[in-house]
Amino acid sequence: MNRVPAFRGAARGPGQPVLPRVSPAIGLVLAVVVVCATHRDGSALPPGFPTERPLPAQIVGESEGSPNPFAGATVTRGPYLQCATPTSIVIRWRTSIPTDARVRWGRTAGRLDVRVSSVAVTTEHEIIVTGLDPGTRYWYSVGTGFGQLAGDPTCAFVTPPPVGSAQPVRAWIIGDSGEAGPIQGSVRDAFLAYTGSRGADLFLMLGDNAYGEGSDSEYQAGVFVPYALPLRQWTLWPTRGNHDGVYSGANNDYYDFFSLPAHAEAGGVPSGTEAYYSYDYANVHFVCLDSEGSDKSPGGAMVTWLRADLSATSQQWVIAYWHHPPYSKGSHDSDTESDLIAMRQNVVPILDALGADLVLCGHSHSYERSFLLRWHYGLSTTLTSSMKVDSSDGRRNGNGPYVKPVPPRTPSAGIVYTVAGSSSKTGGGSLNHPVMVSSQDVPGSLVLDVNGSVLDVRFLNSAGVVADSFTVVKAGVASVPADPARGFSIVGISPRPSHGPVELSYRLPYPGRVKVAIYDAEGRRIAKVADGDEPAGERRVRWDARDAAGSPIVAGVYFAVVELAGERRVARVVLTR
Amino acid sequence: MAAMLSFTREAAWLASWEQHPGLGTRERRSRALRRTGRRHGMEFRSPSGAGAFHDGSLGGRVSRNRVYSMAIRFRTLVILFAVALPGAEAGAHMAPHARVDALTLDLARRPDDWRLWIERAQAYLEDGHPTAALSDLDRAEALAPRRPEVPLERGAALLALGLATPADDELTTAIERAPSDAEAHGLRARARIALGRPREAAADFQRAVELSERPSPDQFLEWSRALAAAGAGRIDEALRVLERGLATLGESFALVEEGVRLECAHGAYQAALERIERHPTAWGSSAARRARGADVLRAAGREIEAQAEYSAALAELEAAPHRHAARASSLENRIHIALRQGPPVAAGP
Repeated sequence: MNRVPAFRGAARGPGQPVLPRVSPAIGLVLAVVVVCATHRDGSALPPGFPTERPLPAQIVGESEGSPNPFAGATVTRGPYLQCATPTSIVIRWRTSIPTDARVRWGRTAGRLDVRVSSVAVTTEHEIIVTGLDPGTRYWYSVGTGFGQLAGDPTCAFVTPPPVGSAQPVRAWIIGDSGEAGPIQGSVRDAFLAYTGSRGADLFLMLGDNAYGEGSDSEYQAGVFVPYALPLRQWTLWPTRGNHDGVYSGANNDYYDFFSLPAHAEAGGVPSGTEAYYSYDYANVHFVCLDSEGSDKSPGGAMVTWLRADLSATSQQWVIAYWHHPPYSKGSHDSDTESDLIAMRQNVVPILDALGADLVLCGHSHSYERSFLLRWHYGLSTTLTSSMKVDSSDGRRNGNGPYVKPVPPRTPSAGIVYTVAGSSSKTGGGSLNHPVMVSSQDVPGSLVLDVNGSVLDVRFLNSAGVVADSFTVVKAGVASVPADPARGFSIVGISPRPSHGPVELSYRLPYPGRVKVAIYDAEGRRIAKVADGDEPAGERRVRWDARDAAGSPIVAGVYFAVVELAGERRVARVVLTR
Repeated sequence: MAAMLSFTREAAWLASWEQHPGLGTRERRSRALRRTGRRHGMEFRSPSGAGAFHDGSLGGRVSRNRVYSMAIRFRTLVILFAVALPGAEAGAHMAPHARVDALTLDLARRPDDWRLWIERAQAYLEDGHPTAALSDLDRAEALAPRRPEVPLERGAALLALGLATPADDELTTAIERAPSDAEAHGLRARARIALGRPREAAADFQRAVELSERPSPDQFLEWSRALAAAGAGRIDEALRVLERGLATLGESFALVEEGVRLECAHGAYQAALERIERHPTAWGSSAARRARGADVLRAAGREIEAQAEYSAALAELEAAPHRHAARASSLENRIHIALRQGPPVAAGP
């Protein structure tokens, strides 16, 4: 498989043959077949959505005039988008025969004036495009050094906005979607009609992406053909379900098909595995967990990583997703099945404590959606009123949105849990879990919209009707008192290092009694520098590098300590003589 | 209706059987895949395909292409019946207890099929009934005495019952019959941990990693922990396993943190600090790295230095360009608490 960073030249995967470069001056490029995957069920696309159409063969690039060793090559999978960041994206595709690879892109549909190539000859192509601008639409094509194979106007993407920005975000979320057929098609088309030219920014799959065993052919039929159009425009961030099997050999299972940010390429903390990962999009931190194959115990790698990842993020919204739901009475029962219980007992408490907002799961082939919930780690019969942060319906046109507090980040402020496993089939069950506001045995998908401090989720059924919705609002900053210590800091120490007197500057967020002292590395106080009431704002004090007795102190590392109302800030001071 | 349902299950079984000899329904294939190393967080994909049911041994990988076209024909049949019979659809996606029920029906018609007995044992095990699983495995063994799947599943069931000694015996038998089964090594390692034999467990964990096509952070963690449990003399070895994991997987927070934790537990605070510095990207941010360093300094009794690091981490967080005004990170809150809770520095002159 090619895995080539842009601008870094060509790379060759282990064991892959490389054809010799053909001189551009030799011969003519022969036929280049342009293939774009199309809807196989013949369903009509909604008005306003770009239509797919094969383009005529094009001959582009520096190899023009050379004999084309890849004549007859077609794109049999993709192109599809992975691992988007504000400045980069991964483009993947499969060809019918081994070829080299080239991606061309640009800001105008007809002018793809930047390119990156790989001379590695393979059928599995993976090119990392870098140097992009945030929040910008790009058009692209894929092909070989001898011509374009796919690149019609539907091959376009928008890079994510800068991390932390409050840009509108739309995600399309499907679960248990991997059974090709009329239900899958109607769910897909309902969303395409609903979103129209708005499209989506992210595309999430909640597992069981390809029935029945997640084999290569099943992924082709259940994912890459029916979702060809979304996949070439919206970055897919999947998780793995119990039907997404793993197989020996190359290029034949979930982990081979997808390029996922194991090393925090798109934000978060590096997990070291594609099984679970996190990424940032605008002001949302997404966490994808693996409830299928990874250790779910508190001491396991995934849960250890989750704690660190959630602790580190300062994003306004945190959305977690995985396959096995912690709460469900659909075709699977969260009171009796071990995977579901383990996620509820080991993962949900961390999400509660570290302030997640929304959990998305599949597995049960139904739609189920909770109220704003916390602290519920036992059986469904153990639900108590203290666990209900807000038991209303959360609907704009019902009881009104759920309201969550903002700073400081509040533990256990409540999470809404959804099960959306009916994107290609429905499955029954009692559908009577007591935490659920809505439980429906109908096909559909989720539409997530985040707009600044407002999060909306809609369950869109296969008829295109919004069959449930809820809204979560983060209350205004002014409505919650800020942490009084925020902004209290040591601004600087100069000079660094110092041969004599040292000037220390610090910022006080509010007036109060301030103590400034110097300590040595063993924690012994060497000198008092200041002790008295001071107004808010930036202050400066001078230490003459002498101890309490007035004697010059020896060279070494010391620590300046500034205290304000029980808060302490410490900075290192290096003295040389 | 019952006859049609039965026929549908049969068709599904045939479709799957054509694709994966040795299996029952498509769900069973999935279960078999899970069985190859999914238990308790292990997920192995042996280069040899170890773990997939296959005539002869656990070591062969099924060729799908050979029988693909026939399978498609059967699958079409299955889909047709699945559409016609809503109840039958669940056969491929059942909850464990429902799968037990379905397999019980299958076994009533084909009681001599050892695969079905193993499948039901797996379903029982997943449903939390290891004793029932053992009973089914006895039946499977009577029908197929030399199959490696039987002792493997029996070992898993015995482990679930907390019976580590017989589990170890069964898993040893499984390994004798299929030496390249990564899951069998991983399960036996756990049995040996339970038996207080961490050195032998470590050897099994190592073998499991070596047999896995795609090792996971969990596997390196377990291997390292087994070595650490073998005594203070093997701490360096345990740390080397973590380094090997990082070399194999790339940066992984869980492995770096395990090394820091292990070194701190043995008083090697300076080594822990150096480890933190060696892995600057493992923490997600410079502030998180500094805060972890501050934790280690505090544990080492270097309080004033710890407070300096906490302060620096806090200053970085407060100055971060992407910091959302409406949300402090949990890290930020934690550092505030750490600075408030830190022991007072010593009074001086």
